[in-house]
Parts: sequence; C-alpha cells; structure tokens
Amino acid sequence: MLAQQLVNGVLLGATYALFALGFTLMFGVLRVINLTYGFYFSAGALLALWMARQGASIWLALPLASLGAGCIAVVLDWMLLTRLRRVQAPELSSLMVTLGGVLALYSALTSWLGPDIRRLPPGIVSADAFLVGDVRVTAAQILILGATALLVGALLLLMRGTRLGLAIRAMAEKPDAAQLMGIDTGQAAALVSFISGCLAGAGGVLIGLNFNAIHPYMGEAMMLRGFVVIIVGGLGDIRGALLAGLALGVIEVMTAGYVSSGLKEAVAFLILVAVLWTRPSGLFGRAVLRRA
Amino acid sequence: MIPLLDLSGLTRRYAGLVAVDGVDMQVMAGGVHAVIGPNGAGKTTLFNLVSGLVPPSAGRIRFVGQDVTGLAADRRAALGLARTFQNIRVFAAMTVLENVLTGLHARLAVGLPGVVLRLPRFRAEERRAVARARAALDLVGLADKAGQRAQALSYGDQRRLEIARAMAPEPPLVLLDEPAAGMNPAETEALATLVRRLSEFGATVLLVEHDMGFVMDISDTVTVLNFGKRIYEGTPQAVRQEPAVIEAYLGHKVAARLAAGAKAGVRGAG
Amino acid sequence: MPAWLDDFLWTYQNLVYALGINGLLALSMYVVLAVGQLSLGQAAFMGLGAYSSALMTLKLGLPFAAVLPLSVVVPMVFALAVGGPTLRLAGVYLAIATIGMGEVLRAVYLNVDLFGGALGLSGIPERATAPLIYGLLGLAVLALWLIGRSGIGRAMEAMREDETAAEVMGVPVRRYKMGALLASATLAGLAGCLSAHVSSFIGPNEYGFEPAVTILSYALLGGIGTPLAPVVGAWVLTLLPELLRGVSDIRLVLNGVIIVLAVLFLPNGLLAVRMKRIGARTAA
Repeated sequence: MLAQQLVNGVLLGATYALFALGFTLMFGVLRVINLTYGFYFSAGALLALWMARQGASIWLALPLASLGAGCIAVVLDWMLLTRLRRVQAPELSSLMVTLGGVLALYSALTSWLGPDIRRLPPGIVSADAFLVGDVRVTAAQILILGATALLVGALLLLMRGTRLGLAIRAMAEKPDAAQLMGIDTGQAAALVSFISGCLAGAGGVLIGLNFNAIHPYMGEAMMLRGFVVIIVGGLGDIRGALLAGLALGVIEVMTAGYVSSGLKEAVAFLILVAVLWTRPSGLFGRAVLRRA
Repeated sequence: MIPLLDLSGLTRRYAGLVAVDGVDMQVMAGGVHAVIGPNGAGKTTLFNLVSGLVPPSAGRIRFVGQDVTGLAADRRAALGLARTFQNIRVFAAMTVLENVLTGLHARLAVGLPGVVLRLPRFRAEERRAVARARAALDLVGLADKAGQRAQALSYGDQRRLEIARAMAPEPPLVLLDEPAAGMNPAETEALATLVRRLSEFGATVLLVEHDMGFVMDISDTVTVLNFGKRIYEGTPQAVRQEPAVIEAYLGHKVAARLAAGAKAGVRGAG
Repeated sequence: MPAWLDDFLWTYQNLVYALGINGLLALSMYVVLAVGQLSLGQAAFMGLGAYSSALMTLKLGLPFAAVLPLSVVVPMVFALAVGGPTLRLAGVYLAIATIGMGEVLRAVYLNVDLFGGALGLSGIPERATAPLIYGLLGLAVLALWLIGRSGIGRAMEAMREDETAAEVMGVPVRRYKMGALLASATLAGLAGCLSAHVSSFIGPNEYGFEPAVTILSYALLGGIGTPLAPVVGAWVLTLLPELLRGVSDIRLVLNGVIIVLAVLFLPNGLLAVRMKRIGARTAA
C-alpha cells in the first residue's frame, strides 16, 4: 500500500516538477511573473487531445503539442510583455497584464469548447499494467516518467553544456552585463519563452494522460502548485524545482491516502503559507534583498 | 559626550562577500562628517544599514543614545534620522510641496478618526505642516517652485528637493548619499554652501561622496572605508596625507612610487 | 416612493443590488492598489463573508443586525494570516498567496458538508435592502475620500510611487499595507454578506478565479485616482453586458482584455484625476 502510494506520488510529482521547471526558468531568467504560463499547460493538453482524435499516436501528439505550446508562449510573451520590459515596468504590471490575458484566454477557450471535462480516445496508450512486487505500474505511468526524465535531461544538457545555456544563465545572473556581452535580450526572451512553453505543454499532456481529464482551466489549478514548487525550491533554481516538485507530489498523494482526499487540494496552499511565515526567501533560495 | 550616531562592529554579509566588515564609527553632534572610499568600499551599504533599509548581519547601531538596530526605517525616521538617495527618488507625480509634506509624515499626530471626522485639530496641523514645508523649501531655494510637479524639475533642483524633504522635520541627523553626483562645478559649489547651511540649521550632516574637492572643502571629519573596513578617520588635512588612504585609492604600486617620488623631491630640494 | 421608481426597482432589482455590491468590491480592490499592493483575495474575502454570514443566519439564527457587522470577522482573520508574512516581501507574494487562498477555499466549500458542497447554501432570507447597500457604499466612498485627501492619502500615494523612499520619510509602510488589506477584507466581507442576503443562494463557484480577476478589472478601468473612479469602473462593467446583447457571452473575455489594455496603455485608468489635497494644486 505504502509502496504503491509512493510510486503514484513520485509520478505525480514528476509532472509537477516538469511544470515548475519551465516556470522557474521563466521567473529566473526573464524576471517577470508570467501568469499565462498555466495556459500553455492547458493548450498542450488540448492540442494533444485534438491530434489524438485525428488519429495521431501519442508518440506524435506529445512532441507536437509540446512544440505548439512553446510557439503560443512566444506569441503571448511578445504581445503582453515586450512593451513592459522596454519601459522596465514594475513587477506588478507584468503580473496584472498576464492575469488579464489569461482570464481572456481561458474564458475564450471555455466559451468556444465548453467547460466539460474531455477524455483521450481509448487505446492511445496501452492499458497494460505491470506488477512489481505489490506495486502496479501502468504503461501510461512509465511513459510519464520516461518523458519527464528525457525532458529534464535535455534541459540540464542545454543549460550546462551549450553556449546557448551559458547565455541564458548569464541573463539570469546579470541582465545588464548580458546585454553588454552582446546577447540580444529580445531573442533570448523569445527562446526562454519557447523552452518554458514546451515544458508546460508537455506537462499538460502528461497530466492529461495521468488523470485522463482535460479541460480549459486545468492549467489554472496547476499555477498554485507551480508557485509552491518554485518558492520552496528557490526562484530560478532548477535542482530545487525538481526536488520540490517530487516532494509535493508525494505529500499530496500521501495526504489523500492517509488523511483526507478533500485536504489534498489545500496541501500546496498550506505549504506556501507555512514557508512564507518561516522562511520568507524559500527553503533553498537566496535571501530576498531589498535595495535602496 | 554621547555621540549622536554610534556604530559598533557593524557588519553586513552578502552571499560570498562582506560589504561592511566590523565598522566602528561615531558621529558627534554638529558639523559635517564624510565617509569616503573607493568604489565597492561599502559606503552605500553602510548608509542603508544606518537608515534601516538593510538589516545588519552583526553589530549595533545607536542613535540619540537609543539602540535602533532592530527598528524599521520608518521608526528611525520618526526619531529624527533623515536621508537622501544617490539615485534621486522624489515622488515624481506629486508637487514639490507635497513631496516635502510627505517628509513631515512622522510629525503629523492626527490619526484616522481625526482625518475621517475632520476634527479642527487636523486642519490646524495641516496648516502648520505647510508652513514648515515652505520653510524647508526656502532653505534650499525652491520656494518659488512649490506648485510644480517634481518630475518637471531639473536634475539639480530634484537633488535640492530631496534635501528639503529630508530637512523638513528638522532632523538632528541627515544622511546625504552622494549629493554632488552628476552636478557641474557651479552647482557643486552652490551645494557646498547649502550643506554648510544645513549644519547652521541645527542638523548634523553625514555624507558619502566621490568628489574629493567637495569633501575636503566642507567636512570636519572624514572616515575612510576600504573593502568594508574602516581604515582611517581624521580631519581632511590628515586624510590627504595618510599613506594607507592613498594606497587604498591608487593601489599599492602607485602609492609606493608616489612615496619614492616625494622622497626624491625632498632630496632634490635639499 | 413614486410608482414609476417602484416599478423600475422591481424590474431591475437584481441589477440594482449588483451595482451596489460590485461598487463595494471595487473599493475593496482600490484600498490595496492605493498603497501600491496587489491582492487578488477580494473574491475569496467576499466568499468568506458570504458563507460565514449565511451560516450565522441559517444555523445560529442570529438577527441580521448582528450578522452584518460579524461578517467581517472571518475575512479579517484570513487577511491577517496571509498578509502577515507576505507584506514583508515583494508585492508579488501577496498576489500569489491570495490567488491560492481563493482556489483552496473553493475546494474547501466543495468538500466540507457544513458548506453544502457543490449545491452551496440556499434558503438564506433576503434581509439586505437597496438603501442599506447604497448607504454602506456611500459611507465607504466618503470615508476613503476624506482619507485620500489627508496626509494619510498623501503618504499612500508616496508608497505607491516609491515604497522605500516613503518608508525613509517616516511613513509606516508595513502598518499601512496591513491596514489596507484589512480594510479590503472588511469591504469585501460586507459585500459578501449583503449579496448572500439578497440572492438567497450562494455557491462555491461564485468566489473563484474569474470573479477575483473581474474585480481587478473594475479598478483598472476606472483608475485609482479617487475612490469614485473604481466604483464607476464597476458600474460600467456591470451594466455593459446588460445593455449590449452578445457582450454577456464574452463578458469575461472583455474583462480580461480591459485589464491588458489598461495596464499597457492607460496606467491611470479612464478617470485619471488626482485627489485635491493640501499642497497638491499645480502651478504652471
């Protein structure tokens, strides 16, 4: 029983981590709070659903939906945030503008598609399950874990092993200096948006597979978890987001299993408030410095 | 005599660097006290520690005989610790007069009920505040611009406005953070006159400045910081001749060569 | 009351209530924006006021005269719990924590029997009246107007422009931020109590993400120069779907687009008037 819960928790946590990775990248590098991020998650899931209904296999639908969400992210970032970045508007402006944008997008999507929960066509992933000792693992769960590991690996390789990753990290550390080094911040913003959007989109498809429930507002429910993961893990900290995402998934599944399923939804919020009361700068994070 | 401001062992660490390192410093009432040092010496961090914008990692700050180490910036302001900023921070959309009235906020005693019920005390107090604000504008020579938006003022006038805003509550200590930055020689000269008038006005001035001529001109005491540590303190004349200070500014080799040159010069003359 | 007015009020009763209640909600957003903060908890505070007051009426049988003032208690407790840690940090933390609070409370209403689950609470007696709603709205506008004109209003504007500089000038920024959040919770709690006691039914989905953002659009459309501006913004956005057929279907899309346009192109709102206070008159 415990082992089964642990496996389910790790799987859920892997998707949380994937979702939060793009979020923390966007936060850490672009230094804006972009609330449209949850929309890429919904968009990824809905795109994959549409493709699956056209008969595409999951091997085609997952990467294409992920890339599609990345493209949406680039367009939205350009529409909503280029102007604010140019005038160096305060953080709250970017928060408000993306909040308005995301309300418009979600409600447009809902009035177009309806608010109903949609399901992937049966057989998109093999219904086989494997027994490892007492623990049951489905093919879908193996796919989720494999895809998450692949994407996280690719991201780490990009950030640590390439010139591009170096440039992105330079931007995160010192935006002004990066500009002086000849990094085009507009292009870099588009690139980071694209990578983040791809990660969110893939996360959407995988969560859609996990729960087999896809609806326009599914990204909104993820945003709070995303925030908790990046605040606990530290803003812009990839390793922190990975660990915090896994931990949150396990804690949620354990709460639902051993305490109450109603409380599962509140876990993330309670962690958030507890962290803010006790460690205002995040568990692994750097101190929030106030500059005069 | 109890110093007006007394820093003991004041330290501020950031990840991987000590910006201010065990600084002991006393500012006596009256006169102008300058803090100088090369870039990155920790001067601005020191000011932020004193005004309460940054909490210290260690050490204590006493002001007017009271330990203020744990007090928030607004409480220190209410005790009479005023400051200006290196990068000008006037309230751009407000008028010049409103900016100065904001500086008097801690002196307004009427609370929410008085405001909502429009008690006579509240009106009288606002009138008194306007009179004090106008006096502060007179002091810096901005009286005729009281009704202008702060953003419409010239750079030099915005610096003066910051000084008026800080001086309006008649604080015993005012911190000026690089007041001469970005000013031309004529403006700097006018500023020097103004700073001297501030101390005649009853305020002790503590300032950080890069313009050495300005500092040597107006200061009574100079403290020199380097790498977050206090390396020297004395009169402007003494500071100018102190080898440790010259070395901090010019580096070890140049200082040595200068010293050698000075000796050679003496020998040649003799 | 003249017969025509009586007829009019009868026909448009719900709209009349909604205009007054949304006006209060716009003010509850105004008070936090006025000190340069962004709270998205107004809908959640409203829900707490609505649920707590409905339960006091239904389960405890308290008279409405006691329920109305008590309806602000629970929202204020939540404001203290969320505001306590977040107001010390950068402004984004308050926004994030308050969005989260709304989502979580919705889940709680859905899952706890006391709150009636997905069905919500019904059979709440209609005790609130239009004169009561508009009387409270009028009082709130007047009080906020007087505060805005005073030295406290000046200090609030200074905080909005540059919080650090305001603090160094002696403005007690933490106290004002907490005070603004508590005032916001109070106004929203009252709005929740009033709305529960005019509509007889409340449900968990009325206080979620969409209403939270809609309340922000009221304040951003009107602007926050004076307390009347956000109320006008609320009235425009409440009336528009009623007046124009077709708008009601895309009401939320419109609210979202208004926020985007207001932030990008109209940072002071439609009614960009500055408060007339001592020393504020500009000379040429």
